[in-house]
Amino acid sequence: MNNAADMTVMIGLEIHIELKTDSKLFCTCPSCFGAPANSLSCPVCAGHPGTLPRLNRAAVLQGLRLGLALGGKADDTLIFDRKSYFYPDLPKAYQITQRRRPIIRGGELAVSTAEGFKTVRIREAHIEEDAGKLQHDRGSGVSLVDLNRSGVPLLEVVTEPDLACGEEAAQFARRLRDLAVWLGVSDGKMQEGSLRADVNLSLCRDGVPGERTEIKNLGSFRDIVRAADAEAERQRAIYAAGGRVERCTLRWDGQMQTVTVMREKEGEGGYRYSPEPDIPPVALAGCIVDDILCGFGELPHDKELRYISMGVAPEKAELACRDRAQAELCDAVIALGAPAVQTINWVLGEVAAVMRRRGLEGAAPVPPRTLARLIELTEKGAITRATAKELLDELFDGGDADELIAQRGLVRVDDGAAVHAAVDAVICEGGKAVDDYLAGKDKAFAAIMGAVMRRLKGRADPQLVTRMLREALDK
Amino acid sequence: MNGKNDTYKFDAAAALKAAREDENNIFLSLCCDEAVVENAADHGGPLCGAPVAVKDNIAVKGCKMTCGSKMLESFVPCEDAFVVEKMRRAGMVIIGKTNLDEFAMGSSGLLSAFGAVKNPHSPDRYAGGSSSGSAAAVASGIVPVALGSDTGGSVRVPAAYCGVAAYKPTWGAVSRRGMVAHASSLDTVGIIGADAKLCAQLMAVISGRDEGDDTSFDLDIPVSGNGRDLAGLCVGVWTEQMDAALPEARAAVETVCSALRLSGASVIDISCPAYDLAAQAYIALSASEAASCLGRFDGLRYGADANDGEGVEQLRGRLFGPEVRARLVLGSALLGFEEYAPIIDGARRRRTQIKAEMERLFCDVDLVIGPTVIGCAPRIGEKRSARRERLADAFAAVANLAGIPALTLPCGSSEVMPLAVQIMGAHGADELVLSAGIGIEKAIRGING
Repeated sequence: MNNAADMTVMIGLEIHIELKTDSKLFCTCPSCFGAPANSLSCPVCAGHPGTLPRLNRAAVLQGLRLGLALGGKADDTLIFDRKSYFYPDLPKAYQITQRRRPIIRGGELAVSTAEGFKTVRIREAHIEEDAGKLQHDRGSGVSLVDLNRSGVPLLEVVTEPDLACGEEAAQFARRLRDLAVWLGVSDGKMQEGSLRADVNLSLCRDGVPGERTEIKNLGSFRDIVRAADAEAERQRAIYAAGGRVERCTLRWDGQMQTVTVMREKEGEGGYRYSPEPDIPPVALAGCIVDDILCGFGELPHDKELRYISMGVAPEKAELACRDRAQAELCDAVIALGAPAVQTINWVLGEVAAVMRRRGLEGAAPVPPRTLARLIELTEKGAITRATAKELLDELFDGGDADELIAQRGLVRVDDGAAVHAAVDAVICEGGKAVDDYLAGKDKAFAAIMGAVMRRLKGRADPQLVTRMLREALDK
Repeated sequence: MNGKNDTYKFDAAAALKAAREDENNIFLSLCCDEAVVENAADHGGPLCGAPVAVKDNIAVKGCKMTCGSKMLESFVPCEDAFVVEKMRRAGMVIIGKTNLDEFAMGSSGLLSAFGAVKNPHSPDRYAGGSSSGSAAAVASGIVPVALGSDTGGSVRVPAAYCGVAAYKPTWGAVSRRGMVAHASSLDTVGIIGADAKLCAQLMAVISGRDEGDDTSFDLDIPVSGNGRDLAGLCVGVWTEQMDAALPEARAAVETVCSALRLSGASVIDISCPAYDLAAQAYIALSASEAASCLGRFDGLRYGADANDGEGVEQLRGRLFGPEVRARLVLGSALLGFEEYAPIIDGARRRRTQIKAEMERLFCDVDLVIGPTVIGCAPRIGEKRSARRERLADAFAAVANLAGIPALTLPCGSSEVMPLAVQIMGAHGADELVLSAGIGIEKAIRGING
C-alpha cells in the first residue's frame, strides 16, 4: 500500500473573468446580467447562417488592462482562432478564442501564506467569447438554452501549477477578482457569474507530478476551496490504494459536496482549433500599451506592501487594498500626515460603519482633510474616540471638525473635578445598578459608568472616569 | 419597368415571367411579384431597374434560403445580405433565389438536394457549379446579371460551361455579411453577367466597406463600367495551365492572345510552379474551414425537418448530402487528429507560397491569362479522371488561395459548347481586371466579326 499522505498538491487555475463593457465581444447586444431569457441576443451571437463577428475594441482594452496590471507582456498583434465543438449553448459550434497568440504572456500575482507572500506565475491570458447558458429541467429532462450570455467578452487567465491547496487557489481567485474590480475591468459579482474558475489538480511525489484532472466551472471562492480539497483527497485515496488517477473532467456538486466525473478529458485535437478568418489581425500599437501602463497608478499589491512596511498588520493591509475608493482615502489621509495604522483602522472601521449605515457605496463623502484632523485630535487626546465617532457621521454631510468641537464644547473633559462631580451625582441618585454593584454584582459597573458618561456628554476620558468611579464606589 | 442603362434594356416584368416558366430547375424560390416590379423606384444608376437573380446561399429578407440543402429547407433569414441591400438601393429588382450545389460544395451543378440544374445550351452537359442556377439564369436570358459565390471557382466554372461572363473579386472587396459561409478565408460573393461590362457595373454596386464585415474594405470601382485601352498592358500566359488544358481550351486562350497583341498589349509566357499543389491545398483548407463553418447546422434549428428522437448526429447524417458529408468528415479529421496536422500545416504553407508567387508574377506582368477550365462542359455521366478533376480545380482555386481577382469570359466554342478564358490580376487590381476584360471582350468580338 502506497503511503499517499506525503504527496503534495499542485494546482493550476484557468479563470474566466467577464470583462465589463457596454456590449458583447462580437456584436452590439448589451452585455448584462439578469435580463429575460434570450432578450439580449441577435443573429450574430445566435450564430444565424450568414452572420459575421465584429470585434469590440473596448473589450480588448479591458483585457489588456488586466493582463498588463498582472505584469504580463502584450503581443504586438491581436489574432483570433476558432475552437470547434458541439454543445447546445454554443450556437456557432465554435467559440472564437485565442490559441496561437494569447494577447498576454507571463505575469504574476502574489498570494499570502503562513510563510509570507508567494508568487503565482501566470502562463498566459487571452480574450474569448462566452457561451450561452443551459437551464436543466430535471423533471422533464429538457434543457433550455438562454443566449443572453453568448458572446459576452471574457479574459481567461491561465496560471502555472504554483498553488498548493484549495485555500491558496481561492485566495488567488479572490485577489484576481479584486484587482479586476479595482481596474474597472470587471464588476466582480460572483453571484452573477462574473468570475468562474477551472481547477487543474495533480498530486506530486518527490517532485514528480501525477496525472492531472480538471474540475470545471466553479463559481464561488468557497466552492474552489472545497472542490480542490475534495479532489485532492479523492486522488490521494486512489494512490493510497495503489491505483492510477485517470485524466478526466469533473463537476463539483455543491449540494452533495462531491466531485463527479463529467467526461474523459479531450485531447487537444478534440477541440479542432483553426484560425479565425473573419477577424483580421489587429496591430496593437505600443502606445496603447504604454498609455495603459501609465494610467495605473500604484496597484493594490504594491500598496499592500507599502502599508505593511509602515507597520500596518498584513490582514488589515490586505483588507484596505481590496476596495479602490477605500485605499485612495487611506492614501490621501496618510499623505496629510496621519499615522498609517490608525488611518487604516478608521477607514476600515468607523468610516465603513457609517457608509453601511447610510447605505452608501464607492468613495466616502468625508474629505480626507477632515478625517485626518479627526484622527489627529483623537490621537492627541483632545477629543474622545466616542466623540470623534459621532462627529464623523455628521461630517459626512459637510462642515468643519474644529468648528463643531468649539461650537458644542466637545473638548475632552480631563478636569478631575467635573468627573468627580458627575460620579458623585450618579452615586447619590442611586438606583438599581448602584444597589446591584454594592451588593457585589460587578457586572452592574458598566451601567453606572454609562450613566456617568452620559452626564459628561461622552467627553470624558473613559479611563479617568473608570478610575474615579471605582474609587468612589469602593469607598 | 425599364432601366436607363445606355447599353442595355432591362425588363424586370419579362424576367419574372421567364423565371416562372423556366424548366432548367434554375429557381428555388421567387422573391418578387408584379407589384414589386411595377413599384421599383428609379435611382438613376446604370443598373437601375435591372432584374437580378441571387444564389440561394445569400440572404434576401423574408425569402427562403435553403443553400440547396434539406438542412435549411424552410429557413427564412430576417435580414438582407449587405450586397442585397446595396442592390436594392441601386434600384435593382431581385427576381428570385437560384439553385446551387449543396452549401456551395461542388463544381457540377448536380449536387443540389432539390435536383440538378440543366445547362441551357444542352441538357446532357454539366451546368457547372456551385453557382449553377445563377449561371444558367444569365445564360438562358432570364436575367442579365446574377449573384453567386466563389470559394474555389464556383461562379467561374458554371459561367464557363454556360457561356457567360463571371467575376470573382479580391477577397474583402465585397462584404460577406449575409452569405452563408462555406470556407470563410476562401469565400467571396461572385458576379455572373451576360458580359464583362455588366459584371463591372454590378461590382461597382455591391463592393465596398461594410461596417458589419471587419474583413471588408473600399476599392475604387467606377460605376460606369468602361473598358480600357489594352495597348501597353503586359499579359502573362500561364504555361502550366495551358499544358494541362485540352486543345480547344488552349485555342480559346490563343484567340485572346491574338486579340491582345493586335490591340498593342504584349503577351509573354509565365510559369508558376506552386500551382502544382494548389488543388491539394485547396481541398485540405476548404474542407477544414467548412467543418467549422457548417458546425452550426445541427438539424434542430433553422427550419430543418427533425423527427422525434433524432439526435444531432442522425440529423446531420440525414439532412446533409453525400458531398457535404464527405467534406465535413475530411475537414473534421484534418483538424481533429494530431497525425494529420502536417497535412493542414503543409496546406497553409503552400497557400502562403502561392500568394507570394502570384505577387512576384504581378511585378512582371499586369494580368495573367489561362483557360478557366480544362475544356467545354463535360457530358453528364462521362468518366473523368481524378487527376483531371484535381487539375481542373487548380485552375480556379489559385485565385481563391491567393485572394486575387479573376474574371472569366466566354470565347469561342467546341462541340457547340462554349469555351472560356480566365484573366487574373494582382490583389486589389479589380478595376484593371474588369476594364481590361471589357476591352478584351470588344477585341474578341472584333476578331470573330
